[in-house]
Amino acid sequence: MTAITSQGRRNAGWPRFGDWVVAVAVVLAFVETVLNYFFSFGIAYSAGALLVVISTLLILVALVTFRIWDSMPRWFAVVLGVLTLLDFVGTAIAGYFLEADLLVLLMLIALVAWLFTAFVRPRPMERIE
Amino acid sequence: MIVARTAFLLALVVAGPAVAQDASPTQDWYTFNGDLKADKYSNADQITPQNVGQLRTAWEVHTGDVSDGKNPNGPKASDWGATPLFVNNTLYVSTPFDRIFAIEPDTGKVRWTFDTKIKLVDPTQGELKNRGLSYWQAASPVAGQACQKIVYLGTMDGKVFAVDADSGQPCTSFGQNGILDINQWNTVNNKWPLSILQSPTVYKNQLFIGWSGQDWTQAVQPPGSLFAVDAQTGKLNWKLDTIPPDLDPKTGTSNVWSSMTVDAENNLLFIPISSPSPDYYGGDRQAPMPLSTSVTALNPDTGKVVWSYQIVHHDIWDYDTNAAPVLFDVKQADGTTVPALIQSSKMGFLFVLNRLTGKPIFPIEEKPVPQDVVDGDKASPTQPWPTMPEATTQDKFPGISKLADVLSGGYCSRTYAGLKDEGRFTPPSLQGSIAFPATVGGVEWGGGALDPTTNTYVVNSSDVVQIYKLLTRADYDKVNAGENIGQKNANGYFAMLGAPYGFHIETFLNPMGMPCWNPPYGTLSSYDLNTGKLLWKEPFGEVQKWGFYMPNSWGAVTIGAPVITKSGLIFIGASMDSRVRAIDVKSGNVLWKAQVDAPAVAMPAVYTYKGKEYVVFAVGGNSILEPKVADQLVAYALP
Repeated sequence: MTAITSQGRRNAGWPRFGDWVVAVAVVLAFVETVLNYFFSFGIAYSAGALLVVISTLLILVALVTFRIWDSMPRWFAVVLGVLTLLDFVGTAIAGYFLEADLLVLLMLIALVAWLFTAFVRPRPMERIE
Repeated sequence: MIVARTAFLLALVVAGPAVAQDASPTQDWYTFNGDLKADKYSNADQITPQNVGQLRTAWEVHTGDVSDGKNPNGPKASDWGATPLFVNNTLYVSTPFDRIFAIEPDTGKVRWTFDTKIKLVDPTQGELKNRGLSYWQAASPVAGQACQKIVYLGTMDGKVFAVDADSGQPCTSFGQNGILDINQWNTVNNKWPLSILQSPTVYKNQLFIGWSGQDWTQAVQPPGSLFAVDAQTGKLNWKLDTIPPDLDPKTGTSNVWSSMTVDAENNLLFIPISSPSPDYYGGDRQAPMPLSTSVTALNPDTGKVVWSYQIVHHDIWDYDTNAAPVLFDVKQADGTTVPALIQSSKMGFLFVLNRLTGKPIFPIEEKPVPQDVVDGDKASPTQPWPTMPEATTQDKFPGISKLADVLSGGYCSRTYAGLKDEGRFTPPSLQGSIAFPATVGGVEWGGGALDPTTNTYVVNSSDVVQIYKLLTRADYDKVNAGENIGQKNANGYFAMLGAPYGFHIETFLNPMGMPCWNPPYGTLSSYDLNTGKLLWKEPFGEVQKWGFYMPNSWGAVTIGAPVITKSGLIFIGASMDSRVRAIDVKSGNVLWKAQVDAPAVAMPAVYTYKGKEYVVFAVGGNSILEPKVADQLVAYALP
């Protein structure tokens, strides 16, 4: 995935460590939300549990989109990046009110890694191939 | 010491087997409220604030007796508020389908079941309700002889079943082949049959049987009555009528539909008496009815009234006295004690009275209240207003919730502006009146729990705002045209046939279903009853919507009650979030919680068996508040 701009992503040595953290955290979060929806006592089959299944799935879709669409227009990358950021935050908040602590933790980890990946520029030497 | 022992033996001789039960050193839970004093207190101290976090499910039973009421051809929704009994080394519990389960207390294995086989068609309540069992045993049970120990179950069709506690077989010497039908005594204004929701109270060799009905349907209804019958034969010993007989052509009810309390030491039976009919208009019942909406002390041998304290005068809010008073002894500063009781109420007021005389221990003022009633009625100029302990609910409308108001485009504030709100005891009106607290409480039928070693009293209470609206008979009939209005209780319409008005009640929600008033919606409070002071008050429970839990500070509406253990723990279900909790009695902090299948609207029972302490919850739900029902009986213990 990821940075909001696609420029330099390859040069930075994709996939970078932060990308992996985001990807793993979101995949785990998705699994967690699916398990919650079917099995979590108290919230199983609720609209809220379904909502976070969908929201984590959307994050996954966004990550895959970033990964495979090399020629993504900048404006689209910005819009998708902002929406993904909001999705991280919204899912974490929803997880908080569902009292799904693991989901909140995973979203926070993914969010921090996402922000790190998006806004911390790679050092110049990392661009040298 | 010798004096105390002599007094104890004398009490045994005078009072018989029920006193023997009350003085039992075992950690039984032998009445709905734990014991005859209704303090909901257990001497068990194995589970402590330090180790309660280790509680695990010890066993679980699903009775199969559950209905959500959605199948038009099936039974109505179940409403299971039955606190199990632990006595005779057995756990007994009844179900909303009117069956009895006898269960091994340490394994959950079912020893026997008894099926009353009554039709699952509720004649009065709109739901299949059950609030548990009663237990009696002979002073000296004869081994091998049946029905020396009896479990009683009251049913929705007004019958009391007596079943041998060891075998589960009917006690045929009781009533007719083990069944006593109290509707044989329903002879005055018998517009509807009597239903038994709450198990009878047992003391000495008598059962005290109260009942429920449909007090929203008619102006003239069966007058409230309490039946005292022989525990072994079901023979009627005496009957108390709570309405003066000359008022029978005008009114009715003031029945006893919840549990009762016994002071074995002073031979007194305390009964909470409900409001007269019709519930929300009193124009035809202006004559004094001193027992209506009262707590009343009786001589259990004769049924004679010893004293009565009316907690609402001329009740037009359906503020039934709805819970058994809790007995305790106030320890005064000079070292003396005063025998007392505390009566909780739907209004959130807590009345502390001398239980021998009915006189207030903490001052109760007669305060002027709003007088603007509809034509034909006349409000009481004053109402009793305890100065201490502090009420569980505030005196005024809690204010419009900005969140609910904004999200509904101002619906809440617009609606409120059109309603009458003069604070507590605002009478029902044609324009619609704010009722806060409303008929759902305040404190509901579970009442509070008391630690007799410290006189700490803990009680859960709801903060619910409802809108009371009277409709002229013509308007009512227009709205309910084509309906069976005599039985109608749908969509909040109460017929009150025979009165010049019908009635509509609704909870003050915005169109999204959010409460229009500020939280909290429910609290748990603790009081020092020696001083009457509030020790702590915390929002209790959580509102859950679409799976999301709302902030703890909101609390939740509760039905059910707490229990207290000697080790300083409160155990309580009650909340609509389907959780059961253990709370530190000193601080009010939640120390442990577990998810269950539905709201546990029965208070738990605490018992010790083979050296191990168990806390058991009947988890059944109450579909009036939350469309979630279950049939789960779950016991927790330390590993």
